[in-house]
Amino acid sequence: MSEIDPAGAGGPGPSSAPGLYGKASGPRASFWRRLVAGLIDGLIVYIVYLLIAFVVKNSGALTAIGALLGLAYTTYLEGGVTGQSIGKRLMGTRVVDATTGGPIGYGRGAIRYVVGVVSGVACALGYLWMLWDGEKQTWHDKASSSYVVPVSAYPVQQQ
Amino acid sequence: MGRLAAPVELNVRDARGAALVGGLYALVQPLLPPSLHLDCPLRRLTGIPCPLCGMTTSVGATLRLDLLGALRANPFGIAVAVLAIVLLVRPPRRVALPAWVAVTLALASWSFELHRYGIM
Repeated sequence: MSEIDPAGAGGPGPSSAPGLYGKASGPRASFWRRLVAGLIDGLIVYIVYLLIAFVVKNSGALTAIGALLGLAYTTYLEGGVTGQSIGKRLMGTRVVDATTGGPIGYGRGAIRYVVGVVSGVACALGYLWMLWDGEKQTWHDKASSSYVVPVSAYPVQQQ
Repeated sequence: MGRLAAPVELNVRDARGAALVGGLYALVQPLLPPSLHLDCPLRRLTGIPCPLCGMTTSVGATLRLDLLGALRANPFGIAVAVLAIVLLVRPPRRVALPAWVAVTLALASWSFELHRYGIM
């Protein structure tokens, strides 16, 4: 079973069975799973931020720490081998490279976070984009050339 | 021009999820403390509203049958509320419109909000 066509379900690229997954070329994570995973990740980062806020009282420093915390969390976990933040792990989803189906790497993991902030700026328009995008991609998915997919169709490869 | 003629099609299953979450939030938002209101970050940071500003208020007002309140906040919210209800009650197989229509509606919504906040 390869990364590109895991579980025989159609890879991140063009599928051999067009129309099977709507307009997308393979299985994609649903709105529900992505929403709940995002809420879990947000809660985790916020709790860590609150703990730091007990110690650090400078508001400027706290803002910078909050941004770096989110950046480090997303970069390390979604750019890592599994492509899974804690929320994504709990919801059975992962981030994969749109072309190879493999990990996106830390550089594009960082891009996901930065563009994810932009996605949220205009009333979350960049997040809502997945509701009408052919590959169910948000702006940060597109900027990092990635898809968010269900683990059931794209299992994490054992090292 | 070809891209503007191409249809923008909703992913109906995902849109139903968004309709449920968004509709419920819009309904209960007036009961929530201000700290739980989802203010537009663009407007908070720059003072400039985005095309979707006023949408939560408008959808919530429509669902409470306060059409005047909905019109004041963002008239396009009435259409969004109706679409949300249709998606939840009797989901069609396909919801699509030409890209140029979607872009025109977004620009019209943005113009309304820019005018509402005295920028245009």
